[in-house]
Amino acid sequence: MTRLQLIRRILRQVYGGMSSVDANITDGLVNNWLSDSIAFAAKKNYLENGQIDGVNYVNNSFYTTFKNLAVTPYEQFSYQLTLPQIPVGLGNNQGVGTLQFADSDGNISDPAIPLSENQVGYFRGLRPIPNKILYYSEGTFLYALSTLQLDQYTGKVRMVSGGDATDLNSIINVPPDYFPDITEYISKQLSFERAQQKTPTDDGSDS
Amino acid sequence: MTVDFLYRLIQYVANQFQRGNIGPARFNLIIEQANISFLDYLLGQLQQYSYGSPASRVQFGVNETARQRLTPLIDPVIALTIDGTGLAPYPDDFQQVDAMYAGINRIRFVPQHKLPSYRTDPIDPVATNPIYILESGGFRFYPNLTDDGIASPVATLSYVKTPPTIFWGSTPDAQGRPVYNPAGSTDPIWYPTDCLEVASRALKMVGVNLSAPEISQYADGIIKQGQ
Repeated sequence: MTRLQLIRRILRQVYGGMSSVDANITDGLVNNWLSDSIAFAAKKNYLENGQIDGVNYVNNSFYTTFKNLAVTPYEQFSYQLTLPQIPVGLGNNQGVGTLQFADSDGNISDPAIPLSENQVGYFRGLRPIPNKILYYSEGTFLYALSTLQLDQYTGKVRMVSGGDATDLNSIINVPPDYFPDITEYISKQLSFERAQQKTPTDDGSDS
Repeated sequence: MTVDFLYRLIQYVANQFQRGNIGPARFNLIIEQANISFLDYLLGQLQQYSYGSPASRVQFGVNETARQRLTPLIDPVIALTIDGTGLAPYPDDFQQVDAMYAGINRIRFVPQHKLPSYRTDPIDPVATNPIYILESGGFRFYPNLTDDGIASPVATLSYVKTPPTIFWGSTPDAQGRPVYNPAGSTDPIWYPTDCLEVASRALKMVGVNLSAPEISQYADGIIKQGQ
């Protein structure tokens, strides 16, 4: 299902049919809520997997690979990549699954080694691991730590994401068994918006 | 339905109640008022709005039936000419917006007092989600070159136009009596069923003019309960 199909399906539910031309709840607004709801679904998946399997993890269906991310030098032996979105905060590193580097010929490195929040400081006291790249994420940035010259490569990241939020015709990367959760979450938010009393005046009232 | 039929019908009803003759000039005066009154009724009368629900009982676009009645006044979409400030004048016969498009996408109407909120909205930026407001000189579009540095969209408009003035034209006969002249007349643009709605409104004015409550009641009955 594409993002737009899901968005229009939700809109029909919220408006009880086709939304009108001057609808306040636009495709863009629903798309905006979609990011929240995907993270909500991923969290639910993480918790449910823990209950079923005894191990918390996020299912593969939630992951998306983003290629050709620019790598820029940040500090000595560290490089910065900008992610398409802030990773979800599940587990130590569940938000970003893997980080690899590719050269212009298409050669791809082994996956880099993720560092959890406390390991970011801890590893500084250790000897460098030869030929290994370490990484951690902070907000929308990813930091790769290596003595190798990485800025000649591009980054390839596999992370929990609903896909390309800027392209409404892209397939939404969520397993179908979590669509009901997404729909319920967004419908609840949008119904809340619609239920608010509106004052169609411009006389200074808070509307 | 011709204007002559309407004239003869109104004459018949007025004479039926023995209240006198309606001359061509008076007929042309009241039938045009009735013409506009019926348009107002179909577009949605503001008096019927209630607080929190700005919609009339009968209103343009409320369903296909109401829309169908106005279709004689809705021509195919036209392209608007927009200047650098985003202004596009109203068409000469403009009455009300039906829909505003940029290609197959909509252009939303925005109330003036919310314009800054819409123009700075990061979720639906106006650069990709154009909007318009209403001014005395026409439609003002955003984005525009003057305010946003971005050209306004190529806008096409579907609108309800003003109905042509209904006119019973005549030429005098040998005794100077007016004789219906189809070539000099303008027939109502409405569907035949709706012409009777126009006639009813005209009859109400005739009733008031002639102080004939029977005519007013008869017209009221048609307007409120149907033919």
